[in-house]
Amino acid sequence: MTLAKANRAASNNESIEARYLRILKAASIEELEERIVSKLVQGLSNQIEQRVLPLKLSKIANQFLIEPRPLKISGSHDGELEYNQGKNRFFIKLCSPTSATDQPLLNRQRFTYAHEMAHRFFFVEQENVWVRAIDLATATTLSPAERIRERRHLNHIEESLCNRIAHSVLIPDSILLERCNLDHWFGRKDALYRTLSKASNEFGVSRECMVARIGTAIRRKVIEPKDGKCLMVIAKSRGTITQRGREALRVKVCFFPRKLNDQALAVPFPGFELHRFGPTAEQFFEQGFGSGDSSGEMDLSLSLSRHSNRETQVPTRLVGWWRSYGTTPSYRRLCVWGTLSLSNC
Amino acid sequence: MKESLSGLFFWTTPYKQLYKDPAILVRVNEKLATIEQLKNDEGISDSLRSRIVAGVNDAETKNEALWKFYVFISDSLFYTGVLAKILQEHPCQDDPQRHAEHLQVAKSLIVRAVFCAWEYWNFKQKKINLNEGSTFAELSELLRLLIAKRVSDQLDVGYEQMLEDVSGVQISQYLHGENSPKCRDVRYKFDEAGNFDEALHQVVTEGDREKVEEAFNSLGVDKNLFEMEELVEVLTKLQNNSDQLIDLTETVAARNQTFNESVLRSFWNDLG
Repeated sequence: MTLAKANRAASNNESIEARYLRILKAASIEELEERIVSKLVQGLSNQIEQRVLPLKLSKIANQFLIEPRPLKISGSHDGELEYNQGKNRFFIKLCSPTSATDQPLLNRQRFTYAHEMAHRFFFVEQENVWVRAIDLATATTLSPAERIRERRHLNHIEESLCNRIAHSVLIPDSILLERCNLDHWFGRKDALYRTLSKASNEFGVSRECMVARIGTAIRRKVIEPKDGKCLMVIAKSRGTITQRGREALRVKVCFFPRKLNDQALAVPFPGFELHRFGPTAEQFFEQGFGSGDSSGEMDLSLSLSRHSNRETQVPTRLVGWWRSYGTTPSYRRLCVWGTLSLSNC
Repeated sequence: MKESLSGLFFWTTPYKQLYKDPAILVRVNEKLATIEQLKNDEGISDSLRSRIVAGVNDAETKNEALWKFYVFISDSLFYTGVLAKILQEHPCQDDPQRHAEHLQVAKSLIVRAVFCAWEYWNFKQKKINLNEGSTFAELSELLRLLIAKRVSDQLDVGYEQMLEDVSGVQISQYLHGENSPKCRDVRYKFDEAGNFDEALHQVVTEGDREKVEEAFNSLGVDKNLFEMEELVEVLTKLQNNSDQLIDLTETVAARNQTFNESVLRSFWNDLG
């Protein structure tokens, strides 16, 4: 699309999201996500067929004009993608405060590499030059306030999409279904943590990435867990990148049943503060989090709310296990899993 | 004056006594000399010379107490600052004690800068006109000297101890974030809870409000994280740089970066 066309589109009162999708030639966000994942998974098909894990995205980078070897930069973010017009190549840059020798940092960088690779597909070619769709979509917005708002909105969409694409590419559906039988995992009771760790190691991702990937597969109905299965990873953090608040114990990633006995629940989300589960649960999780490398069983009351009315509390009961791990504060986590049911049932 | 101070964090007036060699001339019999010269003069009696030496030592001891750089330290120096709350992964966000590292680097830079200025003054045989601004070439020489001094300081095993001896302030006693009993600034110490809309109306002109609010939202921080004084500070900085607010969202495709940090940092570099 030329800038002139983009200008015309802007003047037609088209919503910013619609303009963005049209520039990317996609009918919807979901369709765009599926299309990018398919492209990348297709490139990885040999590795997937031969079950070469972890999958090596650098081997397919050239197909998409991406320089396979990432550059190291400094910064407080994780990484970025830059297009070099002179070389007509994309360069993935990873922020590396120290040399990536420990496994958690390597896993994080692998994820960032996949995330930045996904960003590549949000550039469109215009007169032999690749331009960010966000820049094209917002180029014609007249009011500065509107432009800031639109760029923030589109950045948020693109970041979420790149995260989901990275999950789906590092852990493709076909292998996920093979390795992640939730009935089997939860049937292992307290040993689920070891199963989760083993699967994460195989894919070369963090446990959180693995849980988030399962959550995405559940939302897409690729995996359909039964009997109120739920799993969450808890960490001390300031919340999500777009809504940072006070440091507190929060849900990092999770999957929860969306319905219990036909009652739709407002389930926790990344950044969810644990005090919202009620004082008993909060205190329990705080103790577990601060207890070194420990584990245990639990039968705990959790307060959730109705999906239709957030003011109405739904008392639930979580029966299962927990495990704390991670020695440094930034990697300290509490993994909790079990079966959720309504308290009065 | 404002322009010349931009970016400076340390300066002093060219006060005469800092670069003149004051001396007292006295007459002993037919001899006219400075006290410094008399105490080494073989032509006067030992008893008188010993009295002069004792008198000079006494005066030097008294003078030493007077000849000091008095540094007036603002409480804000020890406050981790509102910018630390906004920048992602800033070390002072959750631990105000980490601010000590910044102050240690600042102290080292100031000590080194004073030392280099003194050395430069001596290298130039004290013939620099301090009433005029330095040329680019002179500044360049001075900065090269500063860089070289940094290298030699790294080799100097006594450097860290010297830095410790330079200041009598126990930094850790004063380091604080907001809402801390260590805070000595009444504006912050007794601050009211933040109210974004009130602060926005108080600080930002009507025409800029929507833009400033959107820019604030793009920072990705919960408004409830700030007390009133902090909100006013952030909104003032955004208002003062309202022409550049669009640049805040001009980011490259990056993971975990919602706004352009270097643009935001530049808003705090105007000393305003």
